[in-house]
Amino acid sequence: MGHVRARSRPSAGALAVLGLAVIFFVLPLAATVQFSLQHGSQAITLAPYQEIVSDPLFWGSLQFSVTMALLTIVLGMLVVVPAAYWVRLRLPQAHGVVEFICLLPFVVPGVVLAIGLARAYGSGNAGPLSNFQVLLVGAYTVLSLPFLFRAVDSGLRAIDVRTLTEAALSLGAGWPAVLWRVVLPNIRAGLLAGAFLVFAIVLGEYTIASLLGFSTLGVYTELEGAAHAHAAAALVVLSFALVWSCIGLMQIVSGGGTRMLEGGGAR
Amino acid sequence: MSYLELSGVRQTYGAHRAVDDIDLSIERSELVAILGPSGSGKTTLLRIIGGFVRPTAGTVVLDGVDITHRPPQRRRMGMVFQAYALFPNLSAADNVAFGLRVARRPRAEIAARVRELLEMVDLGEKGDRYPHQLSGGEQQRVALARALAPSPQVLLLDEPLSALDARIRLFLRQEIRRIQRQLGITTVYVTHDQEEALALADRVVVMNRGQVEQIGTPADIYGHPSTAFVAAFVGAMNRLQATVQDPSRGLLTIDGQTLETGHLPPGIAAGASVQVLLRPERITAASDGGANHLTGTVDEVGFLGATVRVRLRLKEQACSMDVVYDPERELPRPGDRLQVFVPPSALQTLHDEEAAAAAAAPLLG
Ligand SMILES: Nc1ncnc2c1ncn2[C@@H]1O[C@H](COP(=O)(O)OP(=O)(O)O)[C@@H](O)[C@H]1O
Ligand SMILES: [Mg+2]
Repeated sequence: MGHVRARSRPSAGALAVLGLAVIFFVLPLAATVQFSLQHGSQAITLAPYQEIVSDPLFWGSLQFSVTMALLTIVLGMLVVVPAAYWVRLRLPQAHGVVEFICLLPFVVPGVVLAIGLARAYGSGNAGPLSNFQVLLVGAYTVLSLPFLFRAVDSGLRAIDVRTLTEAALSLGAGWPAVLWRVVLPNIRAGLLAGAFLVFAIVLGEYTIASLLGFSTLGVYTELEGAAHAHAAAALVVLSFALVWSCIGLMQIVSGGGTRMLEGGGAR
Repeated sequence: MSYLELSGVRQTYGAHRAVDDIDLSIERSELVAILGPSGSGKTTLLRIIGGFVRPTAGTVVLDGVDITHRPPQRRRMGMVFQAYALFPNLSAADNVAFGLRVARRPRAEIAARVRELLEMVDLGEKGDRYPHQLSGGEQQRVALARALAPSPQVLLLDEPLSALDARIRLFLRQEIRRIQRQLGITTVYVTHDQEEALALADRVVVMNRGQVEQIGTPADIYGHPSTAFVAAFVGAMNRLQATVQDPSRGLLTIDGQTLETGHLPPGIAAGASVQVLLRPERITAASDGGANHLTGTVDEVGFLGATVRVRLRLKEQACSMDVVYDPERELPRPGDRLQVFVPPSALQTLHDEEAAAAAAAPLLG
């Protein structure tokens, strides 16, 4: 009962914190929206949005960033999922080391990473990595390691990896079937959470992209902001909406399975 | 040659021998229970049979073929685990279908087989439930159906009932036995529960510290334990200190009372001290004027339901006996003097080194 009452009548302290949080998040956003629609005291206009939407550079950078994000997600998952799975299954003693390695990108500033990468691989004799697009995806994959590993690993922790794997093997499943039919479906929520984080990070990334000379959405936003303040505000609102629709989309996609389970539970 | 043959199988972890040179032959359609205390190496032995552990030494031969190095996915051995082994993302029916799907069986065949197996484990109506919507007992039945679906050559079960309530455990135990008989599938059943092992198995393998103590039928194991460990581990057992009085006539004394035994170790001298094993249910009410009586004072009376366990204090030692509960008759009360009969065949004696080993094992007080 106490729990229910606490819920229906939150304490004054909780309300204050919530209010501060709302102000902290909503005020800048509201100001940005307002700034993107109004020049000073003039009438509201959608002109900045038209400017953005009609700029082919915007569409080009958006397409490029989305492509990079998707490639990063695929490459990151290909690296992280088997590694995290194998560590849980066969090398639990290596868990700490692997987690530490995956956290390293947090300690290396983006500028250092970008310049280091360009110097190491930019000379033209580093095979496919001499191609800066490949290099960019590689850099983004490294950047997303901490998020991906955390998300995948917590998904794996929630299931009995060893027993499920052995059950599948005893039923005649080979390793690809174990991963595809048993491991992946059972860590789907973790995979989606990780994928979303990577998507949002790559879409907003500026430092590495600009140092390697690419026009990503992040770089375009910076340039636009320098040149046209109101259009830049409109761009921020647009990418904000884009990111949140991605969250919504993933909720729907991942919620499908969960809801099916819960619906069954009521039977 | 037997259907499944383990020879010299050993598994070491560092200096520790989890499984120590085990030889074991299992016949086709036989249900063999591996019984032993926790840490005795049962699971490790089962995982070696299933292919999840490569043994440090020894071979596993199935139907004449050496499968020691064959990976588990190609052994065709169904496995049932203690718990949490159903695929949480799949319904009961899809769990059962899993092995058939990865073997790419035709759709119609899979559907028919899944229906057949769910009905066999009495879950025909619950095929579309997810694991978290099933009780523990139902989950284990689905796990059994899933393991059996691809028609494995051998069924392996690792304490499949130990996470369940006592009542369901009893019921499922009979179900497993019924299905195993019906299919005639060769089965290895690991348990630490001696009652379960005796009730289920054609033969019982008693393990201790990675080694086999005794292999035999449940009646053998219970009635003629060949080591002190088996005697102590399987069933309730009295262990008494005795002195040999007359080896030629099989006489010994326990706390000053003379008894005859049919099992005195050969070549033992008068005056030697031995340990005597005696099942509580072999002691009966004394017949008038007969031999082999034991007299003592009732110390404690414990009601167990169908039987009543009475502890009789002799002099230094105490000895428990089980009497069938009869509401028509009065129970002995603490303080009563009681004379009981001990059949000579019921008194088993132990060699000294066996006695020392038995002292380490838990026994009846
Ligand atoms: N992977 C392992 N590494 C180290 N020791 C192990 C491993 N697996 C089992 N053991 C040890 O081997 C012994 C037997 O274990 P186990 O076969 O699980 O026994 P049981 O199933 O009879 O309880 C135990 O002492 C256990 O600690
Ligand atoms: Mg075990």
